Amino acid sequence: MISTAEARLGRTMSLWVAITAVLGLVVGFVLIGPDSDGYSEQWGLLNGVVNFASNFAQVAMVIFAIKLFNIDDNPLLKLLSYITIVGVSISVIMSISPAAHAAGGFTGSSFSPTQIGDIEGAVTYGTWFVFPVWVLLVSLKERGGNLLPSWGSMAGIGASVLILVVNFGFLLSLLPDTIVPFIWIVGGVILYPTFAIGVSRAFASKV
Amino acid sequence: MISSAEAKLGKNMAVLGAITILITMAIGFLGGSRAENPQLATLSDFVDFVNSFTLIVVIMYSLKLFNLDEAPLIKVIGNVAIIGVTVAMITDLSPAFSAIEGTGDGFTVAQVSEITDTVTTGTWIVMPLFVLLVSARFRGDPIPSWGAWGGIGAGSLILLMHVIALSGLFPDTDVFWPIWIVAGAIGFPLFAFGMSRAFATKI
Repeated sequence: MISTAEARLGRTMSLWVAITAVLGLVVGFVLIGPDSDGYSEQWGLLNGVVNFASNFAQVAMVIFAIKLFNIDDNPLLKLLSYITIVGVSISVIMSISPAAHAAGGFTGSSFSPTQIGDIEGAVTYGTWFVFPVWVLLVSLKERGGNLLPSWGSMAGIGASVLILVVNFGFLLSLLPDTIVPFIWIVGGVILYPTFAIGVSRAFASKV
Repeated sequence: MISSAEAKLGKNMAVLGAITILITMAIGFLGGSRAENPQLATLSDFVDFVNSFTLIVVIMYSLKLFNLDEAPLIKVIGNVAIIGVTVAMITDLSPAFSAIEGTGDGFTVAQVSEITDTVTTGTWIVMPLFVLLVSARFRGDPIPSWGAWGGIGAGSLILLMHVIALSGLFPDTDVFWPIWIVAGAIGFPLFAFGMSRAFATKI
């Protein structure tokens, strides 16, 4: 049974997921720019901090969603939840690495901040397959609208299917790079935040 | 509810964590780079491995010891810290391993060391944050006041060190030595001994 304190934090963190998704777009598209390749000396630290906050909020959302949606009763979803928690937690601890490398100090000089960012991307790549599957299964399980509003579950289904199709499309070299901004905006800034706001509403019902 | 066996293991691992952090500090002072003294560097990696393991156990059982249902933020930070320190533990010996001939030559030992640092950067932000929050919330009961103050001091100093490092204001690492000595050789061992006493109350 989820406690009131956990539900309250889950509600706040889910909202934070939605906010940081939009902030991430602002930093990535507006400040850094879609044509930029590699680490931004000017905005890299801000980008790292936003990613850190976003990933942390996602871990919290998944941890408390296990209790909220009674995921313990669904062994596959429970397993995916734990893998997602591990994967996104690794993203949390690596989010700041490119900025830390750019700042210098203890970090050494064998790699550039761009290469460190690439290492981060390589280490956490599979997370962005598992997490959308988690979102998809939770959205399908809760589409009745009892806890998660139906608009939230529809958005979750749309976001996760879009991200999964695009991930496989890129892996198989079937999609052009020009599609990335469209996917980012529709999946990452409209549908996924809508899902997160829906989860926030679900948590709010237990406060 | 924490079991007596878990509390006993938590108590022992907290003491071992305090001892290993002191050994790490001592090895750091004995000095020398990996190229100058490879055996000492390997010993240091091994001590780090043991230290990371003790940290995992202490954090894991402290989540039960403190019954964090009413402190969910600390619970989430604790869970992320467990995963972060686990990643640190499984990569602690990687530089020593890569120094062995025949284990692949795609990266130099220095590069492997930097990769291991890269995958754990945030761990040393999340873990001190956990130490700081737990110390502040449970100061006096069940963590002895002196242990909690050690944790508050160590956690705050390490977080401050990260802020300074990320700001890029002091790229010379010599600036960090005094902070590291106070936090690592005094604050954190005090916290670890305090945690040991806290676990002992549940045996």
